[in-house]
Amino acid sequence: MKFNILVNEGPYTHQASDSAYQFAKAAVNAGHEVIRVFFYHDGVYNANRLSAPSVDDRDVVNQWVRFADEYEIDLAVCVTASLKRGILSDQSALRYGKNVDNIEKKFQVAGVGYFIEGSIIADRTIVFGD
Amino acid sequence: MDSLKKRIMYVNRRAPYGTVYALEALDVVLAGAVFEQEVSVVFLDDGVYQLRRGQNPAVLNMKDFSKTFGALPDFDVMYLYVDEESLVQRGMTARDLIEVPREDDTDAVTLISSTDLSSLMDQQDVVLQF
Amino acid sequence: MLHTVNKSSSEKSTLVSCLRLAADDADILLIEDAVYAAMTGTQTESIIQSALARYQIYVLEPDLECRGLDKSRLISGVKAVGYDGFVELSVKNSAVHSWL
Repeated sequence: MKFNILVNEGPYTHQASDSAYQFAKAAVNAGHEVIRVFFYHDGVYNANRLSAPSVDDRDVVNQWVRFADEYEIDLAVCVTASLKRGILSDQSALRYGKNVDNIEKKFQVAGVGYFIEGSIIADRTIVFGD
Repeated sequence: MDSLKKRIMYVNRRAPYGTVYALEALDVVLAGAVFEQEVSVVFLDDGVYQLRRGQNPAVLNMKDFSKTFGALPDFDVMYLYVDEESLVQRGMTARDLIEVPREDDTDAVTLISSTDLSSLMDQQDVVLQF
Repeated sequence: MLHTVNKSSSEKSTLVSCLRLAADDADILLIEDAVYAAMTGTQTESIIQSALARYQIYVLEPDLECRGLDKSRLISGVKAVGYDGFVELSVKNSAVHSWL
């Protein structure tokens, strides 16, 4: 079965990203396919490669990246939600004259329509938020 | 009913302005419209405040998105369902709500009972809260 | 339909709204801060008690354990499941409605 997952909150403040990660892992372990994990609202902060959690805590950004690498999962952040929150790809940084980009490369930038498209293609859509 | 289309319901349960969820949920409805699915938008609990007349967010330099609801019929969203019980719980009536005229001048804002909303919700392929 | 609720029922009305609108054959899964509602002895116990007549109610076990909640004190009739069970419930039901 194909799953489409939406994450609406950033890491560390809310449990949403952790819950989504645990669910996605359980889904692939059960032989299902996670076709897309889309990050919206403050969820775009999950793509911030400058996040530097303390060594005794989990690394939320990194666990998504490792998971996506291992199972070839499509991670996408919403372009509008991320731009206004200062989560920038190298191209956006250039376009808006910012001296740094901070999107972890494993995340692609897409319109929120990409999430809706995912919900049409997938058998199930599950939202994790606050 | 086109069997290839999915029934997608957006459930708005949050008051506007205090958080960004209401505004960014509307962005999803608009962006999702290009996929031409069977879309319904529901206002439940504090979500009914989103449709309240007389909003003036300009006083706080915030974006007035309540006007954008008026564009929804142009995006083929013909029903904005308002949970009647939520209105009553908040001391409101239909007269407190904005009107969203369709092309034929009828109002897309439609009160719905718990029973009808429950069965409408149960028929959906995708239900989204933000 | 599978309805998930993630809010503590002593802070937010999310669970009450979910139970008002979930259709009769629905499955309800309590996750994150909603898991407290599955325990006996809380002020909201009667909400779950009466909902059990209409729905199958589940609670996410890792979220219980994380919060120091003992499975032996679950309201009778509430079933604890792991993330594998969460996935199974999502497959079994035709759609998932996450109440936030």
